[in-house]
Amino acid sequence: MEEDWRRIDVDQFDPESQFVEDDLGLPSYTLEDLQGKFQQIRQSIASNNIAEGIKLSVTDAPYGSANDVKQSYLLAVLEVLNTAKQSEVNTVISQLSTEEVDVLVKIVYALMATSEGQRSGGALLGWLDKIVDSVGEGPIVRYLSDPYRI
Amino acid sequence: MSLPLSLSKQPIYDHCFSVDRRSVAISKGNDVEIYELTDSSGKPRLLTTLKHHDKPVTALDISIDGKIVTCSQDRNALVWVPTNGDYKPTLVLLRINRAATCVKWSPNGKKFAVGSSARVISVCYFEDENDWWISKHIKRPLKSTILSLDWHPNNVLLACGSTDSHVRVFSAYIKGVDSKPSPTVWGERLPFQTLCLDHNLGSWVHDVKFDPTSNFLGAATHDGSVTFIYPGPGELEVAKISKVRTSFLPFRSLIFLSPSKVVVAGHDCYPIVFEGSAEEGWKHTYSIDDPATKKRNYNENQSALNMFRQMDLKGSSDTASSSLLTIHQNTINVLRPFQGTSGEVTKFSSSGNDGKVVIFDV
Repeated sequence: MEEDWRRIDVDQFDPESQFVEDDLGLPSYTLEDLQGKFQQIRQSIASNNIAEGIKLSVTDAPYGSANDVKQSYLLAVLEVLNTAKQSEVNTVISQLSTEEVDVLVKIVYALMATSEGQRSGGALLGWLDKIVDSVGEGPIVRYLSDPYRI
Repeated sequence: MSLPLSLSKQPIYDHCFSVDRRSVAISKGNDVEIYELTDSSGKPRLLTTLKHHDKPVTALDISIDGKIVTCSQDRNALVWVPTNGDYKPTLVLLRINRAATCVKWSPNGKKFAVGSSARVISVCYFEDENDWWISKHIKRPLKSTILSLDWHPNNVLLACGSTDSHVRVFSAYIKGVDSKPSPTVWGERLPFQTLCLDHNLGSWVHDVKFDPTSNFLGAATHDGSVTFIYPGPGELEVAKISKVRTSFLPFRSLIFLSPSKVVVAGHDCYPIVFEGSAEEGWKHTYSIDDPATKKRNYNENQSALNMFRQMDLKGSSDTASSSLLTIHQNTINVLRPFQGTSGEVTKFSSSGNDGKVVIFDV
């Protein structure tokens, strides 16, 4: 037989077997909605208050938004992550709750997928390393199975 | 104290002890083996092998009257009835087109439910005229593979966890088999396939159990969390959710030791205990067989055999043993109560991918 029949996706012909994911009911932000937040994040960088910048970044992340909105959100957070000195990373992480650390890991992973993030891969890996050191692999396990993606 | 039994070189997907706790049935590849546990010094003795399936057995369960039900990736389930010291298989008409993944007897042993990748739960009961087990399907609103099932003590309500990340409670009331159930927190009128609870946990639900008082559910999920779901008075209403996020690897199995205590286990290879209540919330209190409390024994690793084994298997000349500090050397798949009353379990058993069955003290 010419065709590799083992690779045929038989489910695509069955209308009943299409898995439709739950509607998570997320608000879809536009770039204008987030301008205020970007401003705050930039201010916290200017005043060298990394803890506050991170805290801002991990609250109300724009999960349901369009890709370009997510992209500019990620870049804003990347700036904070890059500004932080290695020595203060641990103190920042210790101030976050479990849920907030989960979001931070999510953002770090999303950034690794962008070309901008890859350019500062060392800093991102440093953050991930410190997170795993202080709270364990839980946030990574949750990232892998989380439907709320950035 | 714990009692480990190395029974298989293959992963054990499910195990179940007989009602008198003197023998244990384990899945081994395409077959099910039944071992008799003799006195504590002797080794377990193979009693019989149940051979019929032609794909791996995924789950098995023993009813209160000793019938064994097995289900397999070959899309079939079989009921094995003890007759004259051996087991006779009876056909089950599941009517599914994908692998069967989990099976549970109802507490009275008159029905059982089979979950499958076909997005269907088959509720099976015996039909005398044809001498076989027939099934009714629960289809809606299941969207993905069923991973776990648990019966309410009234033999009617059935909880299920699924890879569409939902926990659901259905009525599996079969006319002529069940008597009318009295109203519970889960609902009053319960015709077949009534949905009594539906909640999205945001991750694959590997196991779900009713608590010993049957007033709420506990669920273990793939994101390394344990969730407790309390039903509300309204239809499909959820009164309270208590979710405990942990830093453990994903959990595979959960059992209640008492209404305020659960034990979970999974990819971390040792049982982990959570305690709490609806009012105070739940939290991780301690672990059983915790590797953090153990010391690595270096003497055992200095043999030449071990050195060459390390070089062969891992390509490393490191003398540290690659074995884990825990009793289980691989993922724990299933936990089951072993000893104690339904409200206060004192011993439980586990089985895992390392081919071990272990009996733990709480």
